[in-house]
Amino acid sequence: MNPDKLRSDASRFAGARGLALGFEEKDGLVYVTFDRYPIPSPAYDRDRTRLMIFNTVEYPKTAFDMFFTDPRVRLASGRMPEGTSIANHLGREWLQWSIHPYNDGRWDPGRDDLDGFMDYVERRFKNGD
Amino acid sequence: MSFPAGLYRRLTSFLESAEPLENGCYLTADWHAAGRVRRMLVRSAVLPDERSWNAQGKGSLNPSSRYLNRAVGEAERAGSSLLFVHTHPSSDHPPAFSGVDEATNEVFFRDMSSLLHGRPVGSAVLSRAGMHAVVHHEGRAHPAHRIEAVGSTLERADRARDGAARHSPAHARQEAMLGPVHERICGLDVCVVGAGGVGSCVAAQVARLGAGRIRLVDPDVLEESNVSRVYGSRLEQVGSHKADVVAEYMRSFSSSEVRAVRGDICDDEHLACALEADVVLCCTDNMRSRDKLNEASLRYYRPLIDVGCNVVTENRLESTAYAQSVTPETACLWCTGQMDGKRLGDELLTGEQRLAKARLGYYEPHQPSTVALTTWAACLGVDKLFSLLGLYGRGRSSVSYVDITGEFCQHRTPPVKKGCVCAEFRFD
Repeated sequence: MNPDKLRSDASRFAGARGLALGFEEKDGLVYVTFDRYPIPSPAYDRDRTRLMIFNTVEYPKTAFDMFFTDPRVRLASGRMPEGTSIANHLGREWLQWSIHPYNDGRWDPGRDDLDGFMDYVERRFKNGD
Repeated sequence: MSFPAGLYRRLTSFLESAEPLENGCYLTADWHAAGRVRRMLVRSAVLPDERSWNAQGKGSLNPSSRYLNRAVGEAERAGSSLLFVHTHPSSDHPPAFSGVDEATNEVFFRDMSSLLHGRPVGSAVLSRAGMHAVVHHEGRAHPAHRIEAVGSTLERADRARDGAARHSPAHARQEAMLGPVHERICGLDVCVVGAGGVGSCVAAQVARLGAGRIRLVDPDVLEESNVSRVYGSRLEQVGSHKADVVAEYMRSFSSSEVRAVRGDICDDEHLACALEADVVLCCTDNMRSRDKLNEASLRYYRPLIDVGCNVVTENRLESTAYAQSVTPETACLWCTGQMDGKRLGDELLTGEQRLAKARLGYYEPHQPSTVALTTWAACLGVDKLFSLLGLYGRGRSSVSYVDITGEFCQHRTPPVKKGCVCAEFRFD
């Protein structure tokens, strides 16, 4: 367990992109929020959103799973994006995006990290659906 | 006193290289208390150089203050204890301190206890007949009851015998089959974590083998759906603690000392109970306990045998039973991919969050299972125990798999993975 690793990985990621970063720890989970995260696709009704991911205090042993944005994010057509639903975290609503790149033991704590998961987030946005 | 096997082999080879002269070496060590058991865990050797001895002869060895200062410095930096081991190279007798050694130990213990802020200090002597050691702690010298080298096999460095063999008619055929390993089993203190389908079968086998002491740890109560897999369980016992149910069954046929522990291995108290044992068999179906035991096994040199089933939900006939030995010189559960970081993360969510994921189909709390598969796994686990006790010599595979049909079978010894999280708590 390395409780500082998640913070340092998130800080490095946010610093490299000039993003404002927030941390909140609750019930053994560490929530990381990036304000005004740029959505890399014109398929949505906005080009920036607050984005949240979380992991446990056991990171990097534990995998990331799903990410969360402003609950009002929609496709440009007004429809809900595929595989999303409303979820509650930190006392507020989020749009939960169901991506599970590390199912079936695919997370390798010696190799995978926050940066790798954020690549999956980017790819999900770029799907544009 | 426990050594990682690799360090022990390097150390003894170095010490013996000076024969017929005496030789010696300072070692750093950590003191670990697990329940009633106290262990000195040897972490590293501070090897001597050409200026390390004031005198080195066939019957004498006198370390220089320069060498001692270097060793104390290393121990201080690591916050460790210090141990000095020297040889009696020409002796075939059981190792014992000479009168001169005893007098030197007294001075060494007094001076080092003060320099190392009361941390334990040890002294050991190595002859051709094995090693003997004494640890000085809290003003008293305690002879080491057991000195072991923990690796792919669990070896007694003191060459002492593990326990009195039970030459009973009940074990006559086993003695004929296992030879000296039977005696080792009789003196063995085993902890089985998990009393479900796999754990109950492992525990029953270990009890039938005649292990000296068996601790069985499980926090759960027996549910109706468990009875089809839990050895010794009956429908009327639904609602009783699994550990009690299986322990009662074991006592019905075994003279082993059986202790049922109703508790979660992730609690420090119960983890300490497991680490008292000579060997831990992990038979749980959750990642939290396996992660905890994996780390504790490497950190405290307790051999771990992880036993379980890998269920392939898309094609259940491809599901496998497996067993893996985790020791200071073999790959850990993260190295081999037996640990699932996604599932571990899910297990660490709050109950409400897990439930929300389960409702959406993103989390499956209970894996499918059948007694045929759990029994395969238990047999592989007991085979790994035989391997650890040296039945097959060194070099037996550390991981074995068999599929539910028994047609696919694989044995391998994967390497310790570079960059694995286990590097943080490996000392060999």
